[in-house]
Amino acid sequence: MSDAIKTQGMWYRAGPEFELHDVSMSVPTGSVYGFLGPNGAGKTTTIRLLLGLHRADRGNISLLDRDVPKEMPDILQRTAYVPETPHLYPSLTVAEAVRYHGAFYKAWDESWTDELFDRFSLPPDQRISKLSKGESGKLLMLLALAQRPELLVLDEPTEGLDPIVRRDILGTLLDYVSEQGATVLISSHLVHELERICDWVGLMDQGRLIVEMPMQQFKNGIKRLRIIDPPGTYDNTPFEVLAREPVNGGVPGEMILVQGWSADMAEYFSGVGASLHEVVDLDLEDGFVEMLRAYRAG
Amino acid sequence: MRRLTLGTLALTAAGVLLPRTVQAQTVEELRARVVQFEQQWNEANELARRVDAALLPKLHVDTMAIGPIVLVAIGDDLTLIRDAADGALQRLSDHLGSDIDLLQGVEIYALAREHTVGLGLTSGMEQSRSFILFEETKAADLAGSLVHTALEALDLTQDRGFRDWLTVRTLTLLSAVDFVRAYESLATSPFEASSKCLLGELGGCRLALGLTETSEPLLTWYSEADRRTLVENSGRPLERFFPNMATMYDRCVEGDDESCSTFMKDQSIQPPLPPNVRVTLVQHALVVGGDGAYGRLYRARGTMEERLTAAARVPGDSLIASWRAVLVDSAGHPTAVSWPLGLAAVFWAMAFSAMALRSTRWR
Amino acid sequence: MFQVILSTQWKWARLPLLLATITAFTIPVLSVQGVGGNQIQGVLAFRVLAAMENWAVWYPLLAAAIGLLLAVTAWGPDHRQGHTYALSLPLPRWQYAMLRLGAGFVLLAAPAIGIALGSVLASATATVPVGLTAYPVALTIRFTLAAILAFTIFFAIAGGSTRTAGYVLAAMAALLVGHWLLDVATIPIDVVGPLLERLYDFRGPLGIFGGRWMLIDV
Repeated sequence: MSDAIKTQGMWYRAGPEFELHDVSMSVPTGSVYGFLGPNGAGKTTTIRLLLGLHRADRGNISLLDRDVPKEMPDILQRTAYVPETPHLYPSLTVAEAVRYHGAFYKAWDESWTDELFDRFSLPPDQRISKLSKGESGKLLMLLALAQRPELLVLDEPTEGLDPIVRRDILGTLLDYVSEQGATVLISSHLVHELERICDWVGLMDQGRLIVEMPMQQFKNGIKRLRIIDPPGTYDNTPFEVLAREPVNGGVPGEMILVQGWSADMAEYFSGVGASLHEVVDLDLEDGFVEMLRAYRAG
Repeated sequence: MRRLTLGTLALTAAGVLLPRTVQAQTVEELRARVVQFEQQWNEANELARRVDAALLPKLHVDTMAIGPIVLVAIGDDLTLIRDAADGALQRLSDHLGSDIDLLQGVEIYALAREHTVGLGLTSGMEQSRSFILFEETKAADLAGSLVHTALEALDLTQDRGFRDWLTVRTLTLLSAVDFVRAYESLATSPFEASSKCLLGELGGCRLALGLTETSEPLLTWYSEADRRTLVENSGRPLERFFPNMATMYDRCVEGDDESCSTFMKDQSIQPPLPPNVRVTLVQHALVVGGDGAYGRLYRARGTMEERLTAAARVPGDSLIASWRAVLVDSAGHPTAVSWPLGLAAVFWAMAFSAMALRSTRWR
Repeated sequence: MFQVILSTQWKWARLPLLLATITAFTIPVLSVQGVGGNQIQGVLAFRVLAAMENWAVWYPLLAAAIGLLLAVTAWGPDHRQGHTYALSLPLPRWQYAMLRLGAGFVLLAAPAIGIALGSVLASATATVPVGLTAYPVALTIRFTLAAILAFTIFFAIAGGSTRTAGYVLAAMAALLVGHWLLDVATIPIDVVGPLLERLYDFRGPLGIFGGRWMLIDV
């Protein structure tokens, strides 16, 4: 399977206090890639680099097998972008904005535009500056989908929207993706939301891509284990120990956070004189938090 | 050399003294000013002598010829003056032809110091006539100044006929712009004779140019309406100081022509068209006359029209008609966009457009 | 594509552009008001020329203002949101700039027509004295060229990055400070004078703004 987005050794200094370090990411074609990270991690900067809105200091970027920034017009013809803050001209009405946007795309689908208009109940004569946050989000999604893109890059598309609008937008997006087999890169704070729709996940913090893997592997591979009589150090483990911490409330043993866990690895503990007492499953949000905590602890 | 320095200092001193002199109220004060001026003049003389004594040994002095003119160049670097002299000779030859010999005996002094070139003129008739400072750094510009200075030697105001009629001192080289200005003056002159001239009536031109000999110029050159205009243009005198004149002014404005004439009787009456127009007629006569025209103009006697026709060697009517035609043609179309100007604008618009298309996507 | 670009630019510029067009129409019409009647030919010519001279300064100023207005409205909305939208559209930057530039040229037709109509009307209704000529076409051409030139200059500056605009301002400031320092140090080198001379020379970039802007002239 080829990658719709691929970066290698991407560096970018955004100012005196922030830098993207050696970001190498791969978004498989046809996947829905959740791009996670706390505020200021560098997600938006990465997205802007992918779309040729910033120029990387080092490294290679390609989208849809085309070079960024050399082949931007071709890439952007096949890519839809929903930015974190609406970027449309506020003085235009909704209908004018749709007409304006559609004029630039070869694959623009008029009939589907009309259908989306109805589905999202957008007021055509309303000025963009007067739209509610939800209407604005819907309009951006309409513009993104009506251009029939092969790749959608969505930067916090549901930020600040109420649950109903979020469901409308994401539902329409998933319909499109399943129908067209398009690739989606979506960044969001709403981890639970991504857990539902993504099949790949990338986690970014402090300008670095910490981890990137299939969602299933992420969810299954990260566990919290309670160990009785833990060894001083965990050497030659078949899994990766991300963190160690004592168990609260006078319970004996310690908790360790591991990555790459599978049930047949339990034998390891008897080999080092310890015993495994409990395996705790983590959801994406817990995994995300624990992963970050472990990363920051070094 | 000394005369040159002195002249400069004298001009400076006069410039300094003049405002104070004007402010003086009483005869005593004026006398005191005269004494003071004399004292300063003597001091300036002494200073000039010292400066000359100190400077002269350090400067280069060279004597060159611009045709019959002797050019004495003084300064630390004479290259600019030498280059300018060549240009000046060419222009004078073009302008005067064989009449360049009229400049025999003329001496020009050129003093070059740093960025300044001073030019002084002496001729057989009068010593140390003028000293002008130019800030010229280009030989071509300095050549123009040399030509202007040289032509001053042919000062036609030495001749009473010219002095009264032309009122400009130097028949310098007129440019196309001077003819455009002259046309503007003709077209906008408020007097009847001028309008007739503009419309092609030669008699009107003669009146407007003051070529018609008369002992009563106000009545000959100007119509009744013109006289009223002249009075109106001079403004109403203050009644408190000039009650009679004020009354006459009012009567004139109301239509009493006799009051207009009385009002103007003590004033010098100039022809309806101003000197900048009259001088174009002289220039035209010289051009029409070709080689030797300057000399003929200089030597001829009689009425102004006779002198001009002598210079031009054509009848008066032909001269005036062709002058009028030249003036009308020279008006040109100054508001119209010339091809070079239009093309330059298009070129620059394209250049800035090309720059705009290079607008970067990196922000 | 061009049509939608033109329609957005029209929407952003239409009110001030309408005002500019009315002004362009009005200036020549007003310039001939109050001159004429039963005046002596010379007086009339003098008054007409004086009136034209009084109004002449407004034509180049208006042309420059229209150029500035159209350039600012062409780039303003993109500037306000950091050009994100424009840069995420699927066309090369130069092509986008060219479309905006072309739209600006089309919109310039409005004030050009305004001045043409105003000049023709004013010339037809005014008493043009003998010896003077009305120049409605020449004035319109001069005005249009000046407005186009002003627009391209401001468009090029406005379309640049903040850094480019900074360089332009810094160069101008350096020139003025340099001129002032030379002045203070009494060094007789005039920097600004020759530069202005070259700018306003007929071959220079601002040459079209110089010269005579007279509806009725000799």
